[in-house]
Amino acid sequence: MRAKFVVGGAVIALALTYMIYAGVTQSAVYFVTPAELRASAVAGKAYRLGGMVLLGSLRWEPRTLDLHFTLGDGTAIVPVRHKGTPPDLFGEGRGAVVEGTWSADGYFRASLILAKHSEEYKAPHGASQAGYKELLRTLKGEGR
Amino acid sequence: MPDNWSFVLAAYGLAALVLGGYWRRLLRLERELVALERRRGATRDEPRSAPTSPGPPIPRR
Amino acid sequence: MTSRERALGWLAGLGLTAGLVMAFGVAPREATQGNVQRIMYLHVPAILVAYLAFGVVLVASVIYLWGRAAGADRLAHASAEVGVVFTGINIATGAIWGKPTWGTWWTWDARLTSVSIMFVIYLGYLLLRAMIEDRERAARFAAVLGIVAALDIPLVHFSVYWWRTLHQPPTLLRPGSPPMDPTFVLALMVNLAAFMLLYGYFTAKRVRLLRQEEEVFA
Repeated sequence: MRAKFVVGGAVIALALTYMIYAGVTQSAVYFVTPAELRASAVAGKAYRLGGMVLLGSLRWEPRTLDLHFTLGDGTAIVPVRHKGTPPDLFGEGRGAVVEGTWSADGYFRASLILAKHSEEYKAPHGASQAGYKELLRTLKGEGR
Repeated sequence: MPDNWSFVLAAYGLAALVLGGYWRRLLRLERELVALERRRGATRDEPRSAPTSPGPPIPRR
Repeated sequence: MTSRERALGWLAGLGLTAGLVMAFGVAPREATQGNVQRIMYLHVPAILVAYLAFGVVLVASVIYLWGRAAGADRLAHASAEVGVVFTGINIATGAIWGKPTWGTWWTWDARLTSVSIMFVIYLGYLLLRAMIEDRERAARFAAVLGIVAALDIPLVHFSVYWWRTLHQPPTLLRPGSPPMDPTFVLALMVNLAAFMLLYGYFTAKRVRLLRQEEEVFA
């Protein structure tokens, strides 16, 4: 019985340590913005980059799975290349977070594409504008 | 936009499983406690000194 | 089973049925996400009820340390257990929703990290209670942990404001009216009420069982 508690306690302590470590190293700055990446990009270094998928920048080749788009934050833009199928919510004029490395050739090579969702929910046919500004604000992580 | 109904069903199914599981756990605990109380009561009443023993009986729920 | 418990149980059952009807029959298909958004009717009420449960742990722990009332300790114990169940549902449904919409089951953003820390802390709380054999000591230690652990509740809720996250900001618990169609809000509220009733039922039952347990093993 004692042994069971010791093991349980150790598992919980380890899990907490790992989560706090992950929180400090990853969650504190979950992603950098295009402007921040542009300011201090190191080729070959891994980043998580967050921004808006610029309108008209998205090109997807379903046969080769080549995905090209540009992420912007209102100040700077970063071209992104990826091979694969994007998640359902991914699209132009919406937020996205990509994981990958900065290439010396001047683009971001993404290994994972994540779509960022807004806190807005709309019924179909509801006359509502895309919350572009709202999304951009949440992307920048600004409080209200 | 694909609907991903399988994900919806998985989420609701899992929630039902977890809530149902916890409920069953409470019901099992309740049954065990009732059985245990009955057994305790039986052993406590073992030395039947008199059918009309003085003092109030042990309250049962 | 007491009559109050039975009534709560039936109300919770009715509420959950109404919640399912609202979630699948009344609420429309969301325009951007499609039907996968319906997971929200589990995900959001689950975390709100978990906040409530851990808030009750906090208050009951303070009351216990104040006057050493055994009833407050039992309430804290029961509420923590039920809170862990609802936090688990929140995390699991969030992962299932995240895969098709975000493109991942899991990521270490501040919201997901803080909520999993909350989950593990309260698991530790329950383990601590089970570990210490002396009833009085267990209750005292648990009460202190129950108060300290509550610090993580605002951390979870405000994480989406304080840090850059993948998770979106709250829709319901925020200043101003929710940026969502009223039918969605109504469906969420019905499910929230149902989950609260279920919380009440589970907690009342658990408190009574804890008391009976103490009487049997006394």
